[in-house]
Amino acid sequence: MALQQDRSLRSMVDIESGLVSREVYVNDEIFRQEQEQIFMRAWLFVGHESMVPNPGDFAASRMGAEEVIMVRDRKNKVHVFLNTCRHRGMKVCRYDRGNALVFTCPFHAWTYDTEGKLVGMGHQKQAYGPDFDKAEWPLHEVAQLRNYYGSIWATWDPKAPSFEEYLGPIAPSVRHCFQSSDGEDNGLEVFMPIMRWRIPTNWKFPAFSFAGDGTHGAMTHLSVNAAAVGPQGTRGGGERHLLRAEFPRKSHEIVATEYGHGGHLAIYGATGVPPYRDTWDTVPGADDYYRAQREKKAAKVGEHYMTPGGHGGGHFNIFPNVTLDSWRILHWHPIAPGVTESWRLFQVDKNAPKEVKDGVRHYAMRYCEPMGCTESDDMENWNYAYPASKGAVAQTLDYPFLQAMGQAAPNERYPGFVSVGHTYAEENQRARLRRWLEFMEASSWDDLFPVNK
Amino acid sequence: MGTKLLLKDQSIVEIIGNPGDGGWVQVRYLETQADDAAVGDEEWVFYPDVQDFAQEM
Repeated sequence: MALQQDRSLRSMVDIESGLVSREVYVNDEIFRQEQEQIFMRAWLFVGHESMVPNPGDFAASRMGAEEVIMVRDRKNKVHVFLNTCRHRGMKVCRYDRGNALVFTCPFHAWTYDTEGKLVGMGHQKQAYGPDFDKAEWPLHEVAQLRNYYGSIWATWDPKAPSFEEYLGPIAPSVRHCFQSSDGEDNGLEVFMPIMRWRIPTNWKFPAFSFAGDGTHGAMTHLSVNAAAVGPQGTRGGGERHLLRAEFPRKSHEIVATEYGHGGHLAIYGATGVPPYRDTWDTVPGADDYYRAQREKKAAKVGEHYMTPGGHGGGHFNIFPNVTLDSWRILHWHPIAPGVTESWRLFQVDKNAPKEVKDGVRHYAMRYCEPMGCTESDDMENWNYAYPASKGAVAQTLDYPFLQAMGQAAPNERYPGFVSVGHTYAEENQRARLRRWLEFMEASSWDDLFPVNK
Repeated sequence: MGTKLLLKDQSIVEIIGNPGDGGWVQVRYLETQADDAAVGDEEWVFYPDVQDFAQEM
C-alpha cells in the first residue's frame, strides 16, 4: 500500500487539534520508514545484564524488526550484534539463549567469537588466500551501548546523544525502576525465560498507549476488576494487587516530556516512604522480607520525595517501544505493519530468598501474559482495532487524542515534566506522537537533539 | 581439552576450546612449518583441515 501522495506525514499527525490519521497505524510504507527513521536512530531497550550473567552467555533480542544477540564476551563485556552472518546473511544464532564459545554460521561456516570477531571460515586458505583480512568482517555491532543500572540499551546511530541525554528528565525514574525494594541501584534480576507472543496489531497501539490510557481500564478490565485482582482492584476492600497497595501517599498522573517519554507515573504527595502494608498472605515469608526491605529503603529516602515512576502501580514508556515499571518490562517489537511481538521481562530483587522469587514469578504468570488476568483483555482491543482501521473507508477516519487537551502544566517539583493531575488524559500519547513525527521528518540527530529546537 | 591433532599441513596442535558444534575447535600450535602460523599461536580450525589425531611423541 503506497502512502497517499497528497498527504504529508505532518498532515496526518495534527497534535494541536489532537487528530491522527489511522493510516499512521496501518500503512505499510510508514512502517518501513519507521524502521529507518526511528529504530535505526533511537536508543532501544535490549535486555538486562542478568540475562547473560556469565562469560559466553547470550540472549536473543530485537531492535525494531531486526534480531540481535546480546552476548557477554570472555572478558566480561556485554555486546549487542545484529544476528546475521556477514557472508550471506544467515542467522548465526538460532537459539533464544545459551552459552557459546563461538557463533558458527550453518551456511558456509563463517565463525565469530563472543567479541564478534570473525575467527574462521570454511576452507579459508583455499577460498580466500593469505591476504584476506578477517578483521574487516566482524559481526555488525551497535554503535553505542549503555548498561544503565543493569538494563542494557543500544542504538545503531553513532551520532545519537548519550543515553542519559536521550532520557532527559525521566532518567531518575528509569534508574528507580531498576532498584531493588530496599532502594539499592542495580538490585534486580530478570526471570528467565522471558514471555513472548505475537499479536495481530501495529506496534504503536500498545507501545504508545499502554502507559497512559486511563479511561480504558474500567471497561476493558471490568471482569478482572470484579475479581479484585485487576488494575483497578478496589472492589469491596478486596485489594489484592500486590504493588498497587504499597504506597498509599501518592497520586497517579499523566506525565509527558518533550523527549516522547512519559506515562502514568506515581507522584508522591509526601516525603519519605509509607509504612509497609501486608499483601503477600499466600507466600510465607514474603511480607517479612519486603517489610525489612522497606525499612532499609526508608533510611535511604529519608525526608526526600520518592522518585516519580513505576513503583506503586505507575508505569511509563521510553520512546519508542518499551514500557517500564518496578516489576515488569513490556517490550513491543514491530515485526510487520500488523504484527507485534510482545515480550515480558519480570524483575525481582536479585538477593531475595527463593520463596519470595517464586511468589513474584507466580504472581507475574497469573497477572500478565496471554493467559493472565489482564493482558488478554488489552490484546482483544488492540487486535481488533488494527483490522477495523485498515479498510479503505476506515483509513479515511482519524483517531481523536482529545482527552485533557490544554490541561497539562509544568510540574513544579520535576522540571521537564508536564503533568495533568489525573490519569484520564492523553497528554503522554500526544507527546509520543509528536516525537514520532519529529523522528519521521528528521534527516539526522542534528534535527532531533537538543529537543524542541 | 589437550587432545593433540595432526592438521593436513602437518602442523601439530592441541585443542584448547571446543564449542561442541562438530565443525570447529580452538587450538594452540605446538609444531608447524606453515607460513601463516607459528608455535604458540591460537587459532580456530575447521574439521576438513584436520588429518588425524596426533601420535604420542
